[in-house]
Amino acid sequence: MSEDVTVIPAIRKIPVTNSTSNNKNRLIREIKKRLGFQCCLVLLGMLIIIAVLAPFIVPYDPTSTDLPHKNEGPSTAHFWGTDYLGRDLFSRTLCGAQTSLIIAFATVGCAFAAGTAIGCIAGYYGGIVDELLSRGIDLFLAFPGIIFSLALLGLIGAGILNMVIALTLAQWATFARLMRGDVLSIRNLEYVQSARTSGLPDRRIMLRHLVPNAIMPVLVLATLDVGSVILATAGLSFLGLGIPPGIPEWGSMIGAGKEFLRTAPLNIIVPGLAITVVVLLFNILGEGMRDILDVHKDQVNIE
Amino acid sequence: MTLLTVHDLNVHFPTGEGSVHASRDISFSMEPGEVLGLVGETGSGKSVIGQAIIRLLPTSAQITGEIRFDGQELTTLPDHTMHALRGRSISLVPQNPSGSLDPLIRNGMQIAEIFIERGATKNTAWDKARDLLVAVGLIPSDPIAKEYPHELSGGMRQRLTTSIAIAEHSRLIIADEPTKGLDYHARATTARVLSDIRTRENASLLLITHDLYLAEHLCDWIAVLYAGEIIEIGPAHHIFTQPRHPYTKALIGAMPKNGLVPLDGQSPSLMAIPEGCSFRERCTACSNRCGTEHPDLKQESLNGGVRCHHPFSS
Repeated sequence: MSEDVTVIPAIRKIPVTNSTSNNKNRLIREIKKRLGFQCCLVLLGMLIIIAVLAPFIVPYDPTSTDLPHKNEGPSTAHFWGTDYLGRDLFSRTLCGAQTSLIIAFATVGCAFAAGTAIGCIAGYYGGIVDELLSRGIDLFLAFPGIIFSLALLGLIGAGILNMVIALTLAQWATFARLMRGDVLSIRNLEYVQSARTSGLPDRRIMLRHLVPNAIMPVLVLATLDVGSVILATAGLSFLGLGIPPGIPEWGSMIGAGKEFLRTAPLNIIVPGLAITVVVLLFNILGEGMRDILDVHKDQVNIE
Repeated sequence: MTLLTVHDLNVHFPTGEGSVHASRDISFSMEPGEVLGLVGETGSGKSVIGQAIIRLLPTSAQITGEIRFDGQELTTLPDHTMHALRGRSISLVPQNPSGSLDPLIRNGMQIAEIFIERGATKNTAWDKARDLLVAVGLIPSDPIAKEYPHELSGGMRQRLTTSIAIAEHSRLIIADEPTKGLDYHARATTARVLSDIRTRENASLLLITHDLYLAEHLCDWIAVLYAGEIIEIGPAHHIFTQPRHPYTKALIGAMPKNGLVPLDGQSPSLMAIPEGCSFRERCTACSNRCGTEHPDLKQESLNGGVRCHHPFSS
């Protein structure tokens, strides 16, 4: 090394790479490697289209009874047979998809938003704020989720909105706990410190620096959680607490059909399969996302 | 008027095995537009002083003494008032530029967000950010502003963090090891950028470094630190041509251009600083007095001082 610090007036131009396309390419490459994940995405896309369009594409009114044709097996008129009141099971299952997905997305959306916000505040401020919020989180985590929702629904009554409220209250704490941990792990990193050094307000540090950098695991949890919320919805409706009888819902279909298990098993098999397939799809999506978004697995540290 | 006065600053970190005395009896002052270099080996307490001034030490640190900035006492300032000074009046060029940039935010936005937060529109903020990139020599600024930090080289990240520090024309810029981990070319550019800041912004620069070339090139004043104390302070050319403390002399002798003579031994642990002179065990000129009596920083000339019982004559 030469000794004096010389001043170099001209700065060489550096080659410019297009970053955004590289990032997108990486995502596409990762997805292309996974056939199962691609199938899952296609099927979930179809499921969402079906759920949205359900009222328009079903062959029968899912609530109109037809007692002379009750408990029938599959036929050309009813592909998946009819239930104990002669309602078309295919139509009811499709409309049930709409109910389940609305509840699942609304619940996970609310729990995700609340959990992220509370977890971020607790992790960033620390001290007494963290202590209070964390004990609140512990309080909610102490109850087994389904029992908590059950008790709450018993208090506030059935209905889609009440269902979303009850399930959100049971779920948000998990998100908050995970978010708090993520924020704790990055809040002392140098870029957060240097945002503070630049005099940026806490609001901006949290929204622009902490949340985007800590959100990935929470996002994966949210995807996985959609499946378990669908399951919880079905479970609560099975017990007769969730959804009013007029609305087609998989859990209540099973609950009502269980008396005909021997004579007309389709009453249970059809909605049961629907639940299994949809929950499976969301779990595959969540697992795939976890692998794809894990940037550390093929990272080479050159420093 | 004096911009920054540090008087008898002491920083202790209590730990399970005792207290770490990171800085002891630090006193110096800076006029507007001056460059003061804090030099010393690793672990001599240089960075702690910078962080104490901008109040970003961990809450466990115990700080005593006075830090007056522009007539305000910083050590007792309420948190929100201090926070308002950061970035606007006092800014810090961080030690590790790679870690100090948010990996998910575009380079331009790393600077622009400061302006947006102060009420500028997105477009004006972005234009100002691009001007700053040009000012620190990140050319062509347009594509660089749209890239992410991981696409820059170490030297370029250094310049980016420097541009963030000068974004709001701070009056005091604390540069914490700006040349750490940089190659020769990047070091030279950093030196150029820092000396530019000084002429363009008329800001005072507190340069914390162990890079003696950089210090010699940029500084008006040098304070040499050893084991948490200032052992010699004075005008830069005096320190480099006529060092008075044996440690300073050894430090300068260890520069490659002066023969690369290493100094034996190592500095004492900051948890168990010996009585008397802390440099005693490595000193060639020590006497019995050095073992018992702690030397004071003697103000021998107007602008200089040395903490030694047997200083070399100037």
